[in-house]
Amino acid sequence: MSNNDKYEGKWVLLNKKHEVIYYNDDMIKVIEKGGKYPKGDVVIDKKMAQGTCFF
Amino acid sequence: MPHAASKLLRFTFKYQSNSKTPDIPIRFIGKNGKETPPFYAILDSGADEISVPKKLADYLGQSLTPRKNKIHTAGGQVDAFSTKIHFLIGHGGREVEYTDIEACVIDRDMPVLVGIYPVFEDYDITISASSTKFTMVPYK
Repeated sequence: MSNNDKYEGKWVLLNKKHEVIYYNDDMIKVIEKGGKYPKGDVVIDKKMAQGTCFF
Repeated sequence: MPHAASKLLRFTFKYQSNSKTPDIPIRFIGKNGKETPPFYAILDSGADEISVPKKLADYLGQSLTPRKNKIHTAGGQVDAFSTKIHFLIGHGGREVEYTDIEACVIDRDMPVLVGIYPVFEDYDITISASSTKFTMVPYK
């Protein structure tokens, strides 16, 4: 399983190099984890499989 | 008049690696004072407004007003609510602030969507999928 598959459907926390440093199904846990880092050091994303209908 | 509460800034954003969608950094400030780190939101010219998952709205302590109509999704019907949100777009110390913006809250685990109101109404947005970047130029 590739890393992309591993994170599919998950909320992920990315560092400045866009590496996944934390992930969870629960977005609140990712927000709270991200809040522990200095402003501008992390960004949250939801990993979706290509072609996913998000609506 | 722009919808933004601060001066509009010109932006150029690169797509994330492995992404085929234009994603814009956006962070939120809740009615309860809670702030989020930035999210990558999908820039969606097919959406009327900003849409956020209900879980995020609840975290931010937003008041929610149920909408008359449910949202029809590929996974079935889901509840939708209205709220007024406070957010900033941009990154690296260059941000544009929006306050009291009507948004759609959807009871589904979905990415944040940035639609026509207010961002596309404040900016000329050119998406270049071939060069995997997009530019946002403020309306004069």
